[in-house]
Formats: sequence, structure tokens, C-alpha cells
Amino acid sequence: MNQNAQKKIACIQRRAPHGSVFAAEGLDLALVAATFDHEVTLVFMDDGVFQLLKNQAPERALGMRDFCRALGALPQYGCEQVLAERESLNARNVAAADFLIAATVVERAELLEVLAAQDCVIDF
Amino acid sequence: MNFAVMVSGAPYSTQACDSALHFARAVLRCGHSLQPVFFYHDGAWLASELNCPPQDDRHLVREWQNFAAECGVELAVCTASAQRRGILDHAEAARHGKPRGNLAGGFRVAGLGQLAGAMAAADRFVHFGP
Repeated sequence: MNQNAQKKIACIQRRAPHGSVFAAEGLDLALVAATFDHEVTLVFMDDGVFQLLKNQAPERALGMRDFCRALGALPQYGCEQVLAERESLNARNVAAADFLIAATVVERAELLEVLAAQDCVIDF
Repeated sequence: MNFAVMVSGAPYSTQACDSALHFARAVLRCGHSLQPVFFYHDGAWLASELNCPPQDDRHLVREWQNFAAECGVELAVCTASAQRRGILDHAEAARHGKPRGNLAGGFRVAGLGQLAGAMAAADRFVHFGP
């Protein structure tokens, strides 16, 4: 890595959105890193793909804050690379048509190449 | 080489704080520099001065405090993660109308922006998760 430089950072969201604070705090980290001009790739895999679903109502159903709404502001934060792993989507019967935001669906093998090109990989 | 470390696993519940401390010592022993150690998510639990582990167990807060004091390493804890978990410094406690803060000595509250800055400055960024 270069000194005092913008870094390539992959933030991997691997957990379901509302059962714990992993997803919300993971997303916070990704957004702030993007704000500070790092080149952030936000990756959704495993149960993390459920964070991408639209029409969630955690406030009504669970009394929990709908942090997934912040996903809509990703471009304003400077985070434009959003990936979802196809194998995780297929295993959970989640379709890209049901996504809240635009995300590029990639195969696991392709995702591994993306991750290998990063300076930092952070998973939550 | 300069390392930055993030710890996001809770003390005792997970090995993250132990492993990160072993790693941090090894980094300095090998002649590298380390700045800062950033406690995020459940790692923020370490920053409570109210941690009282049994006497026959390791005292992780004290071990980290001693390490930081001896080696001049900064211990930064994410203010949002910490406040959500009931860990505040005295200024934050006053602002929230709490009788007193409980941030352990040697720790400092910081924003995520400081973590982003540390990632920029580091040659290697190492994350100890749960």
C-alpha cells in the first residue's frame, strides 16, 4: 500500500440486516471510508444479500431503524461499486429484480479476483 | 512499515482483543510501527473502565492500557459504537445528562473518519473480527 494514499477497500456485508448491528455498523464504516476518498467496493454475500431487498419495514415489524435506506445514498458518498455474489443470491432465492439499489451480480470466482486486487478487505 | 489495526470482536466473548494484542506486540518487536489501534463495533466493549474479569483470568483492559503506555500506541474507540454500548467519556456523559463517563484510561473516543485517515496512512491494515 502507498503511504497517505487513497486505498482500494472492499467492505463485505455478510449478515442478515436486522438481527444484529453487524450490518448497520459495517455499512457505516463503508460510507465513511468512501467519504474520505477511499475507493470502496461494497460487497453483499452470504446472508448479507438480504440487505439489498426492497420493501423492508424493520421499524414497523421489529421496532428497528431502517439503516438499509442509507444504501440509496451510496453514490452521494462516492461509493459506486456495489457487488452481489450470485451463489449467495441463488441459495436464498433472492433476485436482482427485488434489489433496493442497483448492484452488479458477480460469480464467486470473479469476486475473488476483485478481492485480490484490494488493499484492505473488511467483513461484517 | 506502518500498521493500523481495527478490533471489532468483543473482549472475552471472542478472541479478537487477545489476538490483536499479540499481533500488536509482534509488530513492534519486529521493528515496525503501529498507529493507531481502532476499536469498532463490539471491540468498543474493551474501552469500559467497568470491565471486572475474575481475578484468575487475564485483565484485557489493563493489558491493553499497559501496552499502550509502554509503547506509545494510541487506543482509539469509535464514539458511535461506544455510545451505543453505554461507554462514554466524561464530556459525552455530561452532554447526555449522565452522572459520569466510564471510558477506560488510555483510550480516546474518535470518529470513523479517523479510522479512514489511519487506513490512508497505513502500509498494512489488519482487522481482528469476532
